[in-house]
Amino acid sequence: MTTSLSKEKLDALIYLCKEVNSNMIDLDVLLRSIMSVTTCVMKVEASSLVLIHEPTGDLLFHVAQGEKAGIIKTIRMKMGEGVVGLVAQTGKPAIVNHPENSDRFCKKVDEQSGFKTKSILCVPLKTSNKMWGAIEVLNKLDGNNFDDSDLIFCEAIAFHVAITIENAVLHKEIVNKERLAAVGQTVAGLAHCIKNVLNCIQGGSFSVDLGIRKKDPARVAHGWEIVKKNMNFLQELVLDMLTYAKEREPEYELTDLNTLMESVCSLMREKAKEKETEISWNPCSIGKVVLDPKGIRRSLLNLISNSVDACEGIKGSCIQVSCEPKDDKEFRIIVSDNGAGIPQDVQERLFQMFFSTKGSRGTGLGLAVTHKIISEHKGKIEVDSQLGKGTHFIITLPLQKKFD
Amino acid sequence: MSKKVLIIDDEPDSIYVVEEILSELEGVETISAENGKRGLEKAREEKPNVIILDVQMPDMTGFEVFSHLTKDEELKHIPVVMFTGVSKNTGIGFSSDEMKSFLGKEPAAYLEKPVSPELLQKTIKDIVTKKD
Repeated sequence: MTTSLSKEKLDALIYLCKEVNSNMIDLDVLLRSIMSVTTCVMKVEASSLVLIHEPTGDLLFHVAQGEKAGIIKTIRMKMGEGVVGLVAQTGKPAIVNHPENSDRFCKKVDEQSGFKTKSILCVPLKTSNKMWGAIEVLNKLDGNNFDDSDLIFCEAIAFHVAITIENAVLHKEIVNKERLAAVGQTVAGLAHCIKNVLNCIQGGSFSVDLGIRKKDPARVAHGWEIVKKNMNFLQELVLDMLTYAKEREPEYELTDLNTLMESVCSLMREKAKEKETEISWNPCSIGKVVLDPKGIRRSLLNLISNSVDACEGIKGSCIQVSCEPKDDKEFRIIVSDNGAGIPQDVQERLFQMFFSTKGSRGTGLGLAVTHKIISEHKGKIEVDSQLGKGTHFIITLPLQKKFD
Repeated sequence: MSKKVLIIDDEPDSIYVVEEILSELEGVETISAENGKRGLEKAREEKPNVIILDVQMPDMTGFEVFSHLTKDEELKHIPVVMFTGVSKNTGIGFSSDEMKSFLGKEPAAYLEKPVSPELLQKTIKDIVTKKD
């Protein structure tokens, strides 16, 4: 027997195929849209999409269309109960044109909703390895019975819907798995960092206690310095974490570049002196620009701090910080050092979260945070480094002299 | 004769606090090195009785240092205490068995930071007295 589909039904199928492939974002919206089209094209009074509720095995009316849709959606069916229950249980479609004469028909839904079922077409929602539920259409508007052409159309729809549901579920599982993995990695990275700091705080406190017991003020002072330094480190770590974790817009202000750069450089000079290196900064002529001074300050502190570390133990090392207009749309901030340089493989992972080559002293957050801040400014950061010769970090930012 | 403990750690504060904690142990003196390379040199020069070894260090990690120590005829008998913030619980650390298969030999102890001063003292005390 050959059964052909009307042009209207073929068009509807093509439309649904396109919908299924274009709208994976919200499954419920997609399912409602599919059932609306189905109700319309099949010219029926009502339709519903029933899904198996995994924990109980019951059937829930996930989507319902028609006059009594509101009440229908509150009803639950048992697996095997009524026509829809049988279809979901056996995976075989069913047409019941005179339900009042059928043993399979369950009057519960009609009684509870006030709907009068005259004919039923029900098809399973199944993929190769799973039964998801069923689609049911009720009462043709012209009063005719459901036939094979209706069945074929409905099965074609059910096939697409089942695959769509399965894809959505798999997609959700993958996203959840990835999210958990990312959280795990983040927690592990942070835990490692925090444990090192805690160890120093605990040891510093021990030293303070010991100093008090032995009446040794120098010991107390040294222990207390360690506690303070590490508390400070922890505070910086929390700030970096928050900067990294939060989606944020830069807090733009009209900022004098020279003042900002000078304050950053003078803050870092003490650390540079400890490592026997120098920081030089030449004022520039750019003047005031619109940027987030806190964010850029944080970025520069991170970059210069890295440069200072890279210069440690290298005689005659120095760090140069400068600013220059690139063209009339952008300007650059350059942090250069003649320190150790960065190997190629490290350069590739430089902006990756929790990647650090500094051992216990590195959080692996500094450059990741810097990269994020610069990106939020719609700027970019590049690195040019040669082993044994030094490193240039080049930040390019939009040159905006006043607020729009 | 006092027992020598070599602390290899890239973090000066960490070295200082371990020295402080061990300063309460009688008959124990501490020496230190700020990186793996220097640590191996000091181990050869000083022949310590115990080595406390940080894992995450730039240039040469604690695992690499441990691996060098175990291959060195003169140093392989020295008990090593791995001392690190790398956690066994978070899945990126190493259990004793994994360490053994990874490094060929097990360290004498594996201490996770932050460590209580009492546990660190007890671990070192147990190792140095066991040798006698």
